[in-house]
Order: sequence, then C-alpha cells, then structure tokens
Amino acid sequence: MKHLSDEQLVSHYYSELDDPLEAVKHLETCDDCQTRFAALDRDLSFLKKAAVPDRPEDYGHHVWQRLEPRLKETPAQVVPGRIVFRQWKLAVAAALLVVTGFVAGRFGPGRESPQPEPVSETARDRILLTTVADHLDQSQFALLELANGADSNGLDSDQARAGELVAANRLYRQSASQAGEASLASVLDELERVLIEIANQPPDVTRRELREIRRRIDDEDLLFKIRVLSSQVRSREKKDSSKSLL
Amino acid sequence: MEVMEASQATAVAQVQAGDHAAFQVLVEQHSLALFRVAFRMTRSESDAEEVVQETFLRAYQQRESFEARSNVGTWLYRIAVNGCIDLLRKRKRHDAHLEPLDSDEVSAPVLTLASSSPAADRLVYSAQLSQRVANVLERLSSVERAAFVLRHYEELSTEGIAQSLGLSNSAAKQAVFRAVQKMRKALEPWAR
Repeated sequence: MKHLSDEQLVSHYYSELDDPLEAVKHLETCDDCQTRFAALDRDLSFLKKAAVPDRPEDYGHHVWQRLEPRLKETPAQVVPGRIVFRQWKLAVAAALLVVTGFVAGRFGPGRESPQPEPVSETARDRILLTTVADHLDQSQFALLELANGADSNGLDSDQARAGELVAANRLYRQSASQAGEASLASVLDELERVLIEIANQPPDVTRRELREIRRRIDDEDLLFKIRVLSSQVRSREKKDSSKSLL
Repeated sequence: MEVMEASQATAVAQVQAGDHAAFQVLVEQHSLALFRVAFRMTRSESDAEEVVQETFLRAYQQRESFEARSNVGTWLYRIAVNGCIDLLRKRKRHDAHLEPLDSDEVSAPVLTLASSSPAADRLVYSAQLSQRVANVLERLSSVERAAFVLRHYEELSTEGIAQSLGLSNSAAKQAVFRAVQKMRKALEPWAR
C-alpha cells in the first residue's frame, strides 16, 4: 500500500475513513506514516486544550428564563401560499429534465437499461424545491465565506465553488424568468453576476479588487435577499412534504 | 437511538403546535452546546450569550419550517452558525477602520508573569494558549472555522457538519481538512 495522504490521516484521526482497518495495518508497518500521524495527533490534541468559559449546571434554565418573555411577542413566521412557486417549479422541472436527460445520455448505462419508475408530481416538486433550496444555501455560504475571509487567503477555493454554482444558477434563473417569476429571477440574476465576477477573477487578484467584490455583496444586500428566498423555498418544501404524508 | 428520535419528533410536533413547555425542554438540552460553538466562533462570552438567545428566538419563529426528518441539534447549530457569521461580519465592518492585528506577530509561548507557583504558571499558560488558538481560528474563513469547531470540539460527523452548514458532504470534509492544515501551520512554533 502506498503512503497515506494528509487528507487520509485527518480522516483517520476523526474515525471517518471508509476502510480504517487498511489504514491501521499500514500505520503498523510504515514508520513514515506513523511519524506523520503522531505529529497530527499531537497538534490536534493540543488544540483541544483551548478552554471555553464555564457555565453553571443549570445554564439551560437561565437561558430559558431570559428567553421565555420574548417568545410571547414572537409569532411563527407565516408560510407563503402554494401559488407563488407553482409555475416556477414546473419550468425548473422542465429545465432539470433536459439537464438530467443530457447527463444520463452522456454518462448513464446503455439503452437496454430499464427505465426508472415515474415519480409523483408531489415527490418531484419536493425534489425540485430541495435542489433549489440547497443551491441557495450553498451560494449563501460561498458568499459568506468570501465576505468574511482574510485578504491574505486569496480567492482560490471561492473561485472553484463559484464556478460550480454559476451553471446551476443560470438554469434556475432562466426557468424563473420563463415562468414570469420576476422577483425570483431578479435575485438569481444578481447572484449570478457576482458568482461570475468571482469565478473570473485573475489568480493574482489584488486586495483592492477583493474588497470591491465584498463591497458589492454588502451594498446589494445580496446575502439577505438569498436568505429570504431560501427560507421561502424551504417553507414550500416543508408544506409539500407534509401534504405528501396525508 | 430510535426512542430518542421518536421523542424528538414528538417534542418538535409539540413545539410546532406552540407548546412552550416542550420548547423549554429543547432549550435546556441544547443551550450549552450552542454556547460552546458560539464562543469558539466569536471568542466573546457576551456575544456567545446573545447568539444563544437569538438562535432559540429564530428557531421558535421558524418552527413551522423545521423538517421532521432533520435532527433538531443540527438545525439549531445551523441557525447559531449563521448568527455567528452575521455577527463576525458586522464586527469586521465595524473594526474596518482600525489597524488589523497581524496574528503572525503573536509570540510563541513565553510565561509573561514571573511566578514561582506552578498553578499560576499553568493559568498563564492556559490563557496564552486560548489566545493563540483564538488568533489561529481567526485566520480561517468563517465556513472553515465553523466546520472545524463542529468537527473538532463538538465531534459532529461530516454529514452533520454538511447539514449544519448547508454544504455537500465533500465540501464539508474539505472545509475541515483545509482548517486542520491552516491550524497546524499556524501552530508550528507552539506545538513542538
């Protein structure tokens, strides 16, 4: 067996290797990997020592005492009506069928393979809403990571992720636009322009350019808009899920 | 485990119906874990306390959107991490006019208080260690920091981290790995 990679050693430390026995066997016989793993173990154990301030045993009760009076002024957020996403979901469904058809044709098994069982409309809607909500959440975190990152970190990882998100975003934006969902299309359009800008930055992006991208994300309140949109889609997804159980 | 999941589902259904007593049980169960995460993210006791309060308040507001198949703890972590990231963002904007501290300049472990007492020395060392770890954590991106805190201190699985941060499993795993690499590099002078 070849040496364990750094990533495999980290996974092994956290007991998340698919085949831990193989790693254990290798570590028993490989001095080099043993030394590297011992150093990793020492460093991560060192980090465990950083303390968190003590809280009383009944801390949860204290939290509740402060919280309870505020709950009385806090109604549950209203879930928007079904009609809002209806047409948009259908358009996205059509677009996704094109994409999945393309992927299946390109990477899937031969034509003699059995066709998949058709899914119900409710199940399909739920899958679509989950997909769109996941896309919005991933976009939100990508932008948050960029907005909060240190200048010295550069854009390498942000660019790779932005590039992946652009293609999916384009699909959803076009579908929303075709379905006449102007406000949805508008937010997705803003998101897409920022994602493209991030993905297309040169490798030696300057601090000034980085700050300019961050300023734009702030000025347009893009993160807030995405969060609201994601929350609405999740609410719809949950409502559809409840209906399918009835 | 199945019993726990069933009781959790019952508790969530009660909370969704507006049952304060059921919500109190969730608050008392999860407050400490949320405080630990919030403190490790923000490095401020008062900010962490505020994040805990806001997390439960938002959870209560958004109780209708909780999905029965999800884990309550993961859902709360997600709200708390979002709250921490917002707070860090506001803090960064507020501090933008100040000269940034260069964490590279933080010195290696030297006991700065002259003391003959081993207990006092340990206290000083512990404080310096915590400060050093805080400085190193600040060098991570917010997602890396959250992923590392959830993995290393809260011992969440990759799947749990992915759900808490809205990432794919592979992205969550990568975020933890990148964080570990950066932390180790920054700690080289210390951890020897």
